[in-house]
Amino acid sequence: MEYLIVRLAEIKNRKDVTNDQGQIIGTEIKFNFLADRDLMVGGDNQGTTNQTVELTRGTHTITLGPPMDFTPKSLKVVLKDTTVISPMEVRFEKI
Amino acid sequence: MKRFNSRQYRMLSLALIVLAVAGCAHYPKNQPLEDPSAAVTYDFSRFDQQTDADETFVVLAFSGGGTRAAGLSYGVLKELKNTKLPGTDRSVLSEVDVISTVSGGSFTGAYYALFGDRIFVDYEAKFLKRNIQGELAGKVLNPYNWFRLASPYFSRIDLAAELYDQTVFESASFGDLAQQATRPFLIINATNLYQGARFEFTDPQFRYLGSDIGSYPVARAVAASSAFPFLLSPVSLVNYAKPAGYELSEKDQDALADYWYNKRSYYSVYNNFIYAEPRGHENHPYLHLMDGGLADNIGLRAIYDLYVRKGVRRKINQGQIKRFLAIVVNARADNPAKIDKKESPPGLITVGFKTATLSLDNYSFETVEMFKELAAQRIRNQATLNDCQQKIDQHCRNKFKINSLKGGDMKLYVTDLTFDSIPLESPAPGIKGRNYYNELPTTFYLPADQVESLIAAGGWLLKENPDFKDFLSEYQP
Repeated sequence: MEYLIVRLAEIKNRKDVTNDQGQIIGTEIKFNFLADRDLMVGGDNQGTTNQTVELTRGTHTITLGPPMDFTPKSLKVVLKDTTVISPMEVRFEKI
Repeated sequence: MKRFNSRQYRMLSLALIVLAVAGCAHYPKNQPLEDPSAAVTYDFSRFDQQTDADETFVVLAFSGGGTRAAGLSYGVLKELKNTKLPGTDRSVLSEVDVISTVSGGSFTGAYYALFGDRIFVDYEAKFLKRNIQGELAGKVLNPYNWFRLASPYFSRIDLAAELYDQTVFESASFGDLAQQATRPFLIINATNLYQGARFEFTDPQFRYLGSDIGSYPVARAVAASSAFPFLLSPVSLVNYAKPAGYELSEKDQDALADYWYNKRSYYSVYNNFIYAEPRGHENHPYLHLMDGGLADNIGLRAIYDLYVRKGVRRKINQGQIKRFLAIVVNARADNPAKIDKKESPPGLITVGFKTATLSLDNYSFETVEMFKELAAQRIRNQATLNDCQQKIDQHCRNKFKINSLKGGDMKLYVTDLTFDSIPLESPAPGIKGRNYYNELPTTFYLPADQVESLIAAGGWLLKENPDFKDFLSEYQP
């Protein structure tokens, strides 16, 4: 079996990261993880966000329960080589 | 020359018409599914109950083995009824949620699913102590049935299904089970002769065939499940063109992408996809089903599928199950070997029989061990998570919390009941020694005293099983 945790997050803070020369080399984004939402995997309710769930190895289509106020609308992932301590983490962003 | 009078001509004509009709006999066909958006009928999801009722989730797997298996599984049901959950007035039997059956075990499982506690009143007379195979032989020897059997679309298994339908299952259908919608949810297993894959009599399986299971007789499913090769013939199903709007579920589509990641998932869907695809009804217009034991003789594969990817997995991930108990009733008879007492090698019949049964028994053993390892893995992971968090709490200043596992600290028990657990000498009054049970044949007739011994053995095996004892001793209401 494999392990997955899904989060619904909203951006709390976005900041440009610069080097010593003041050139922008990236963006630092801080998220707030939001309260539990229904987790749908392959069309089945498989618990909620913010907790690790146990699934079979392989391909899974993931989305969240209503309201549909998140992006992307669904994600297809391949679960493999995970552990219960280090599950695959998948993030949806609140819009 | 004697002439027939008009009355005799009428009688002769009537007889010829009856025989002609008999000769056109056809097995009852499964019906097409008219509307794919129609509410699912016979599926585990329809048997849901209030969430806290699934805190204790009990599944039973009844193996094949003719009346030997039917009697043993019946004995287990009796013991479950007589065993109370500690601290409650509920029996363990009232907590049984799913029964998966094969061959002989299908009679007991189906009877209980349909008629509930009535099984303890009349099942012994209606099935266990009847000479079913004698009655079947009688039907085959009935001259009227010769004309029916002459039809290429009607065979011995159809006679058997008629007998079971009329005298055991009271013409019940899966629609009747769906209407009851009360646990346990019954899964009758047969084998698809084309791929050797397991075929289960449930709505999702029938939908792959564009068929509606609601009107399908339970007796025909039991007949398919117990269609022993050569003695009985296959049960046939029609694979219909899929109605407009039909499509594979998202989960099935994901599984078809998993050839390199998860071949179990891939093939469990692929074996059905060949029927469900747009041209499936042209390439594979029929299925022919035989004894479920050819694919899985203990009925545990259906439980495995529920646990890893179907209804039970959903409940675990929703945190509904606190304790999970699987009871595997395996009526395998390990006939004491006589073949290695002779210097000359065994003959063709012995070799043929052993060839048919050896791999089946080995596969059953591996399936049980695999399922036990799956349960052990879950328990280990739960312990690992708890231990890691304890170490962090003990040694780290920051209050870091590892993500918790949905379902928390579930307790899992896999109880495997076989004649191997019975000592060679009788361990208790009413229980014979091991060899007595191993020498019982695989037939659909056993004398009443042998049936009584099997019922007693089923109860004793369950009561004495260490995993079942652990389940009871650790149970807290």
